[in-house]
Amino acid sequence: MNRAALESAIMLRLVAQPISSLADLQKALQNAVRLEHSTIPPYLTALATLSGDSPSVRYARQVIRDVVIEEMLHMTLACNLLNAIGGHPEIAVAGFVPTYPHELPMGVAGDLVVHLKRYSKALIEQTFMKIEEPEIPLDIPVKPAALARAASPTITIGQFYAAIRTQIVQNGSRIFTGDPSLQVTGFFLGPGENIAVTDIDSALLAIETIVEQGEGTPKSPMDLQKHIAHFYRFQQFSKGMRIVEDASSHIKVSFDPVQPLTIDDAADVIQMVDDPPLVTYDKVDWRAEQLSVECDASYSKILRALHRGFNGKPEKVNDAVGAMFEFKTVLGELLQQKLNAGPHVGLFAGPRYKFAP
Amino acid sequence: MSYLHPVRLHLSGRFRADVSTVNNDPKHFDNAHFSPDFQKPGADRTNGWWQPAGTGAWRLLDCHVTRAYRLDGSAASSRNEDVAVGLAVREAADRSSAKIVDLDPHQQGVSMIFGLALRLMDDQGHELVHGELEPVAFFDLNFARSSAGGPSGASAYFQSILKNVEWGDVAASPCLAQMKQVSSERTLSIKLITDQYIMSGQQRGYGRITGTLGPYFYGEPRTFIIGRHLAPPHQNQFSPVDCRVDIERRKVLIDVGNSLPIDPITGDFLNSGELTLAAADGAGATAIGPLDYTSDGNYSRTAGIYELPAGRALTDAELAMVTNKPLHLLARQQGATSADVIVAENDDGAYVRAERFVFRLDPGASAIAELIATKFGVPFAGATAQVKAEPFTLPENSPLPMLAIDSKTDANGRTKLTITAVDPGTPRTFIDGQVYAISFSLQESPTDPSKFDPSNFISLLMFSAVTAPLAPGWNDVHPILEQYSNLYPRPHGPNLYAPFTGLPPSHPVVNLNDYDSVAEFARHIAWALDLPIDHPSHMPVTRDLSGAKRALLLKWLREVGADGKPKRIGAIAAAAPATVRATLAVDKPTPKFAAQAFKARLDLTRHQPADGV
Repeated sequence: MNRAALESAIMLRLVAQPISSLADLQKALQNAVRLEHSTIPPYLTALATLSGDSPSVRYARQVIRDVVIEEMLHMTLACNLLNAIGGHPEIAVAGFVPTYPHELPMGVAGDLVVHLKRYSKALIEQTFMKIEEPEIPLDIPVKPAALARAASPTITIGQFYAAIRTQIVQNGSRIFTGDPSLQVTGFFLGPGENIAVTDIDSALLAIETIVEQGEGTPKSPMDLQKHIAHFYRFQQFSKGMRIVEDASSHIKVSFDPVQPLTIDDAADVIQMVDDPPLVTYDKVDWRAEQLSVECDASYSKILRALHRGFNGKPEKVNDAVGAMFEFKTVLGELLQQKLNAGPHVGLFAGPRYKFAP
Repeated sequence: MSYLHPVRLHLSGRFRADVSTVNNDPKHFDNAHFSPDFQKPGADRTNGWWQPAGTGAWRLLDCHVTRAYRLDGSAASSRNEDVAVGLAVREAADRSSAKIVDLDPHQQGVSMIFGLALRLMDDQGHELVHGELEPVAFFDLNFARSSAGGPSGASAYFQSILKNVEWGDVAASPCLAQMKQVSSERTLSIKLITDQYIMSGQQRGYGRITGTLGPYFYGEPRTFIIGRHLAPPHQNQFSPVDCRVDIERRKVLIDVGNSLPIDPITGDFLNSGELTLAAADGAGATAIGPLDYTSDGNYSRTAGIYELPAGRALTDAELAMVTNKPLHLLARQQGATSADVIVAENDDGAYVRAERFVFRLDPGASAIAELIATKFGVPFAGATAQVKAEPFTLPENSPLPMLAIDSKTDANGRTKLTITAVDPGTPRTFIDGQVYAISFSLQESPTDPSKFDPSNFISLLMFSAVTAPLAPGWNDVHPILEQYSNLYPRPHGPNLYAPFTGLPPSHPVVNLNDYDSVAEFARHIAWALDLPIDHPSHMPVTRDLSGAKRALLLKWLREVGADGKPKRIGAIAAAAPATVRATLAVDKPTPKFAAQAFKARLDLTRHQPADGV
């Protein structure tokens, strides 16, 4: 398979953005920041509801966690790109977090409405794999048919970043007017991940990292998972098998039936209500409501610390990380609140990700 | 002058103290005999007590400004009168929550708030005031505040300063504009009173907070007021009361906020009879009361601060009396012909207090606790302070800290007490160091300050010296981390943690008892260990790790092996660090105060279970 075919086959799709000026470029990068963030709440929610401790569940937690951290890295690099060309990432504003259930920014995943739900095989298949769905999913390990590209009004996220790349190259070094001290580095230390964007070369490197991680080029056998596109990482839980390296497969990987993944949607998962932002708790569930408020406040602190971190105080990103650890404890406690009354009695409370002042 | 000033605002709301209770039992510090059951809730003092999943987080909730006072003594109770009224009082917007922390399992009576930033916000999201609370422990813990019983009936106060204050546009609020104008630069005085803390059911871990924000004046103590201090003359249900005579305005400001009994149902002051402030000695008395404290919502709107006499100024004669004679707060029950003294100033008007009263010291380290003496509210110069240290807990013969004190108080009534820590060894075996009470008194005054007010002494945690290996491995740091993993299971306990029966298990952030988990989070742990103690993300949350052990952990976390991870196996060679050994003669002075005074306080823990879980 050639690279272009691979790219078209495995990338997210989104509505084309006209990018023909510096202002467009800044707008596109702000959209990229929002986009990279927007899948974190649904993924994080599913991750936090995985309460079991079997090897399959632990594996699932690791897979989802890796995806979330990659989205965080991409968000960071998009902010660095935006700052490098004189823009200012807007993170601590009410509209930044989608109000779930909601469509994703820029029409990613079409008109798919993304909900906040507990982990389930159905959620993996009907939401996560849809969010990350390639135009033509590869059938692993079956040799794919000819990958003809269908006519579509949408572009891939790879093409979206390619347009950004083109605009950067066309504008040349004159657009790198941003203050270099605004660059955030030192938080992601993987190869090609710790990038201060100050010129064309570093900008292209940042874009390449985002795109390549999204594509999931399987280039490191030692670290296979991190180089498989998100769609296929999630597909493991739909198929119920791990993806492994396989020299006999033309794409070097295949699902392995002797490494089954078994997750019980009931026993391994906290039975959280669907879409907590739409739920009004009964008065007797005082603690569920209170902890929801604290959870919103905690998430908002992360966003606010990130906003300051990407707008002149890079050291505040440390505080964002500290707040993330606290968020995990608040979220964990919220998910232990069993509802005593109302239409969802017997289910557990969940996070709303509502921006709090 | 501090918060007890004509220009002040009152605030009211709730707080959450998500304290951990596994560490309430000293036996739980013993790794060798730790049972997983200690991480489960237990009725009374069993298992991990009532909140084993506590994280130490302290949060301010639903808190608002209820009333604003201005220089002319006028009060605004609505936004129309002063836009400060109704402002939201919130914690920091962009970092983790503040923490509440005991000094030690053997001294749980000075729980301290670290890392709290406060913001006054209008409903447009504008920040009008932002400041950072200088960490402070509570004072005057009173378990008899209301008839609710146990901690729900208890109350205590935190007085400190907000530093690095940043002001928004406060021109529209006379109260805030005046406060900004009169206060020393970028500093404010604050007092927070906590009560109605609940230890079971849906509202477990939540309580009520009431407070006062006012100006701070350079040079005044940060944790108490230079003023008049009244305490119960005998055992009763009242706590000490502070007053300040405003000579210029011919008024007395009295603060009964942490003292008067509370109705457990309404949360307002109970009717304790007609309360009158009087200046009195054997020769006569002048009453300048009464206090108007019984109307609805009085406590939340006034925080218990009243100006006397109401509606007029003190006469020359009255002013002379209140300035020079002991103040008494009298209660006369309906129909009674005489009044009872509920709190009173010392007959000689003398009062001495330590500005900073909680210390954590490594062997060899020194700190200064300034003692400030006053007499009828003015500096007591030339007084001789006496100090004495004794261990809070057994063994009695634990090595004592070195205490050095200036011979006499200066013109400001101040004298420096220098506390130098020695290596106490490990008298408590599996709990680091030893904890001490340092009491003080004035030779010139017969009154025992810690009897006048049982909170009035210094608490000191003196850490043990550690012989650190040159190249530490997991085996060197594991026992330290294991103890934290045992005691604080939600943030860093076992991989799968299910404290409450019938609820789904949760997964702590990091399992400190597991090499791989610690290695994975090594960078973040090192960051948190290196933060200043007043940063809310400082590790450990409990602020009970010695400098030597901290250095050991940081060395281990940072000197990684070829695989980029901290080393599983260290080198055997060890180097003994220079430490101050307890070589001085431990010449215990004849105790002026009974040691039992401190031992008895061990029962006054804020973690006492109310009614199980």
